[in-house]
Amino acid sequence: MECSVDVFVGNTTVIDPEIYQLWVDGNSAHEAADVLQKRGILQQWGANMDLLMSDVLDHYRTFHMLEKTLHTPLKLTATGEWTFQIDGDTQQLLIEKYYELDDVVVREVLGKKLSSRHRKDLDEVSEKTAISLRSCRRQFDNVKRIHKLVEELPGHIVNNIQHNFLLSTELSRKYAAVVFIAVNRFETTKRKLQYLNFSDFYHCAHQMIEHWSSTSCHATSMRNQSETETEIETDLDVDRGFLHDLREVRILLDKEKELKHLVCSQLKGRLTDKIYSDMESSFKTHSRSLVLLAGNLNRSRELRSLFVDLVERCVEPLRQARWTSRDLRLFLDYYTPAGVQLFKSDSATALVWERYMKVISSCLVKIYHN
Amino acid sequence: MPGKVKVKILAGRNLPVMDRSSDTTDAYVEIKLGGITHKTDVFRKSLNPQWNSEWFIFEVDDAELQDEPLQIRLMDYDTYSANDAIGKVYLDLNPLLVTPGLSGRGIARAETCSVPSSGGTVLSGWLPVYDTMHGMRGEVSVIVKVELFSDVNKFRQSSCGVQFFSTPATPYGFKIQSIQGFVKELVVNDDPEYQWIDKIRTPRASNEARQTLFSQLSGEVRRKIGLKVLELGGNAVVGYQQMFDLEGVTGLVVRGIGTAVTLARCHFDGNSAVTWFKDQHHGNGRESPRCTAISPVDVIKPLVSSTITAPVVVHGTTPSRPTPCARRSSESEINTTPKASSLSDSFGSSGGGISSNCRQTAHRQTSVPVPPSNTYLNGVDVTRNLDALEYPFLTMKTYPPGFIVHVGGTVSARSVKLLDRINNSEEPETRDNWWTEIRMEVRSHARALGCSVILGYEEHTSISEEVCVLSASGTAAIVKLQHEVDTKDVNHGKSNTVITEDSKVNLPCRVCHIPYSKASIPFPIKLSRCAVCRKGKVPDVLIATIEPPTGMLVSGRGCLIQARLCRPKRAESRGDQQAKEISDGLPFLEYELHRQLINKLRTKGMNAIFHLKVQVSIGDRHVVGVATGTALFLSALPTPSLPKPSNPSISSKQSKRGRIHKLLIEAHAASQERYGLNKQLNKVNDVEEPKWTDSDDTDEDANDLDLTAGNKDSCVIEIDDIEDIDVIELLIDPETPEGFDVVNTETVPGLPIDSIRRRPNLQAFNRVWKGKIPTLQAARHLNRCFEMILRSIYFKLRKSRPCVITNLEFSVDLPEDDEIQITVLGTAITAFSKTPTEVAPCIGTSLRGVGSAESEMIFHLEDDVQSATSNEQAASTARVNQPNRHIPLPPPSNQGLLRTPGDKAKIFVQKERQPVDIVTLIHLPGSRVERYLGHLNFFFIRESTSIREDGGLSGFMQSFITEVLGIVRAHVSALGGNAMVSYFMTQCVLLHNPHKNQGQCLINVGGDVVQAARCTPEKDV
Repeated sequence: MECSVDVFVGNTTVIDPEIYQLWVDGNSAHEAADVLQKRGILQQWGANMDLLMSDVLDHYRTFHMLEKTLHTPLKLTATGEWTFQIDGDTQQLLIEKYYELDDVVVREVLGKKLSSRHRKDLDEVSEKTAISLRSCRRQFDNVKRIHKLVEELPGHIVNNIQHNFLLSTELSRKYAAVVFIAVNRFETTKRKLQYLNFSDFYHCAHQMIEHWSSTSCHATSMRNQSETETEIETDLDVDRGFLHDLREVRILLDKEKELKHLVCSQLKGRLTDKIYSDMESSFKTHSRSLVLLAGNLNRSRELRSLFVDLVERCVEPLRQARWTSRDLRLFLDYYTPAGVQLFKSDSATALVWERYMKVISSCLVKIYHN
Repeated sequence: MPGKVKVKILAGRNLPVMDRSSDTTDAYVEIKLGGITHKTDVFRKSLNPQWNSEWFIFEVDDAELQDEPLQIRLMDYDTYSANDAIGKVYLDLNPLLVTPGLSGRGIARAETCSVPSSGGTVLSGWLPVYDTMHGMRGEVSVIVKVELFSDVNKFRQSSCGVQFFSTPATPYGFKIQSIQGFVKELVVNDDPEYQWIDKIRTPRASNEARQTLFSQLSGEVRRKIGLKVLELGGNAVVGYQQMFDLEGVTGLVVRGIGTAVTLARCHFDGNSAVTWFKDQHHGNGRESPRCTAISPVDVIKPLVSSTITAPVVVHGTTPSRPTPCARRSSESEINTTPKASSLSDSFGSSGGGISSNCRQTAHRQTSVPVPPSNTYLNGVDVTRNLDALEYPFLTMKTYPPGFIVHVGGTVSARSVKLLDRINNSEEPETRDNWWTEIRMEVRSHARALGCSVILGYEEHTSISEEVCVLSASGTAAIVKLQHEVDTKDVNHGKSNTVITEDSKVNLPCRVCHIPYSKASIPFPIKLSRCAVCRKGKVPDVLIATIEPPTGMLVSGRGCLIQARLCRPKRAESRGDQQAKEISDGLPFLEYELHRQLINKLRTKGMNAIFHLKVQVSIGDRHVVGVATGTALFLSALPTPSLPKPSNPSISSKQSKRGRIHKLLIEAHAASQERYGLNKQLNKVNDVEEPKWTDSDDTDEDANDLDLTAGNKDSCVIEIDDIEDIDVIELLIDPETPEGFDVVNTETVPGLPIDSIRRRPNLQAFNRVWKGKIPTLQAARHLNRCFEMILRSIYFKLRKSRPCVITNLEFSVDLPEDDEIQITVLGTAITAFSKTPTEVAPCIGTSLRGVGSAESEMIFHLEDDVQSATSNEQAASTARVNQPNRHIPLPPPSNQGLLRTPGDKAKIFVQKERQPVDIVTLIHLPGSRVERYLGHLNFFFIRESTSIREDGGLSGFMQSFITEVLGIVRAHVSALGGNAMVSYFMTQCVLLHNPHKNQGQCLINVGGDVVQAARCTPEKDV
């Protein structure tokens, strides 16, 4: 029936989770109605398409009004905010769903500058990921919004996100990873890295946040503390002092023989013969790349290309030698303590080495796949 | 005598960016009351300014306090150019002028009023800042205190202390000590939108001028009514209705009507039936006796519209005589209305500048048999007689048990007027006279029914161009007037009827008995013996505008009944011509409406309608009539018979007739099943049939006897052509979906009250629909519109079944040529405790073959099974902690449904704020009203010049209504309340100019602010 106004406004804002999901997924009102129709809503409730359309449009208008508030979730839940009367559970649902991320989309956004230029390119992302453009834009904007707000905030990034956007821990961690990678400008878009998915980066980012950042418990050295006193502590930055200290591990290059001996003696019999012989023969290369990487990390360019280096210098050669990820894990399990053992005279460097290898091992194992 | 208002501005938040260059705002606040303005300092460069101002003090006259709203205006300071307005808050100070104790009179009031700390006199909280061009723009935190010095001066202009309730019943926690009677006031003014200055000022200035004026006028009307109440010795107004007539160029009329009463707090629960009337002082100044003011030659369309009715029979052979049943009684002895003769009326203008269309009617109040007044109450000073009241009108819809003795029937009067310029706004005599006439009319109708009082009285207008239709309606009744102290002085059966002996005080069926004697019946109706007591006489159909009186015996459940009609109107006629056309058409419209209503009622197998509201709206091309009520089956009244289609003239349509008959029978059976009416089918129908000697009725009786064996009160529907078939198809309403109960009364009659769950979800909703009516088949289309609107409401609430929709109120406007706007207001109560076994299977079956939605629905299933137990637990936990108020599923499964997988964020859910419930009802199901904190009445105007960008007209309206409700909630909360009862929306005028991409909407909402407590589970069980 032709009409110019068709609205239903209740005292408590009516939210239909099903329709909300369709909206968040970027469906237009017509698309959403079509989906619902296919789900059999008309037969179920004895309605016709007009009613359904009117209902969906009604919800969509509500969501549209809500959207502005959803950009600052704290406003939605503030006491004395009377525009929308929504109970706590539903508020949570609204926020959580609105900030929902698709891993495939985030992977595409990762490492790109969050500028309007890239926002325009989202149609390519949409094409590639088969996620609707609207949804891609929403995710892009959400990442940008959260990035902008928490970038400057001191303290733990996950907590910051949780407090300011009222997201679940899980989702907050996702955003934290994205923001961490963006702030440190890690290279993630190289062709060689294309095989990595978001969960790989997520894992690595959180390893670094946990162990390498200025707020991490490892930050113990005196130099470090004096430095961090002057600037606000945040776990978004990789601990500069730590990276500086990492240069010391280059000593291992000189103690290569001892290192090889330590590792090989331990691994003998634990690896298959073929892999063992490969390890033995190319130990120098493997070890050198890990140590050199550590030694150079204090240069920011090197830090940025961390993932590229890991893939190029570690993952690819090992893959060529047909190592399995179990082999890799075993190797790393013995390689790290062997290094520690060699630093026995210098316990500070031993700690630094351990702190470095903890993250690198974990990341390597994670990204060692096809 | 002055009152002192103290205002403190604490802070603002979420203000809009007013300075683009710095992305901030330099905000300050202007506080204005009457002629005085105060300002805060400028808080630079912040969207969340902290003024924390000193106390601004206003010393004002208390009359001004009542009239003037406190205006809080947020401004953006600009060094070089004019300061920009951010937005405004209008604060009605009236709720702060009444102490919650409501001690009422003189000295006692003085004591309470001067104690500002008594709770109700402080307002504090975050209030939304509203701008007519931009909508909501942040919030401001304020504290307002009022200190009032009492004024016992006899000549005072103020009436602080008189409390207003829009609640049309005895407010909870109070008892009515005495009823002073009907109070009314009318104020006219120029509409700022139509003044010359409007041509040169900005839309914002114009809108604000209007908002301010509306607010002032509203206050003034209340103050003046309050004065009358004080004169009468009352202390409150209940059932207060305030209407704005936007006449356009001729001005603006604000009308208030209500019932003056003396309220006293009662600490026990029972409603006291102790009430008595006090007569109005006829002599005092402004209450000049109106009776004399009536000129016999003025516009009145008299019609006892839908009273106790005779069976509606249209004689196929005499299509030229579609006389309403009420009119036919002209031949009878009692002179109800000058009838058939008046149809062929004269038309002429009365002199004196008022050029109005007239149908000449002799006012018959002289010939009305005045019922013998045997209502003598002890105490000479107290009461003389109801009839002594100028207007024995009560605007309440619900009355204490035992108050109503007999219900006579609905009485109504309409009058068509031509609007003229109001020359002297100080003396709004014309408008006053119009209403006086119509009230007299209604009163005389009631008297014709042998009733002395009109209950559930309402007044309405519909304006199109310069023509205005005034309507007044109510329920004629006889009430028991009992002295407060001497309760033994029972004056039951104050009627002059032969059935006095039957009206024992506690006979539940007594209310239905006719209040007039059989001999002096005003028009032919069918009477039968009361099916309950077998003594009293009852009509075959009872129609009333009030709520079903408590204790009435109802079989089955009630349901919504609605008759809709649309008559075309010649668009080219103007002025007198148009008025005459409308006036001539109205009786036909009403008759048709009534016929449709009665036939629908019979098709449903019911015999009474309550809460009937008939709205007649006039537009450029159409006149639309909509009658809405709640149909039910009164045990006392005879079982109605199904309407029978017949077409004696054309036999070839036999098959068609059969088909229609079958349809009717099916609909009837479905309704019987649905509303549980089957029970009384077994009842022996040994109703005595009164014989009618009235010659006018004989043929109709004969007809009946032929058509139905056994039942004498059958009705016949003529089918002569296709049109008629349409008409019959209109009689059969599509069934209300399973799980819904829809009524326009407070509660569903026949549905036990304790079946409301302990923690029901309450949802007042506003539905606005605007569309086109085609010129062809307008009536059919109209019908479809209404059906669609109802269905869309069911569809909207589909996930909250079982659901009860109460107090459904429709209003129709015809703003443009071929446009119709339907506004629906109602309250949905969900989560009723039906036994799970009842509900589960029905949802289960509807699920079959549904597909992907199934997984979600499974929750519902489990839910319904669990709900009984889980709710008990939940209910007992805490009253503050009500998680799912609007998603109407019970909490446990709801969480399961809502929670996103892997959501661990529960810890971050903020402490839940107490929601503000808004209901159109007078009570809050599941809660108990503890205190009334005042009556609020808001007038908002919203304008936009970017309608398309706002999401079209729908988007504009939706955000506007959402904001308005938000503001209402904020004010409720600031006054210390947590709910609003008797919520109303009396105006919703939407203007649209698509070419300019511009739209404007004007809304009047309000209600009673209350503080309510959730009922404890024990109490409910």
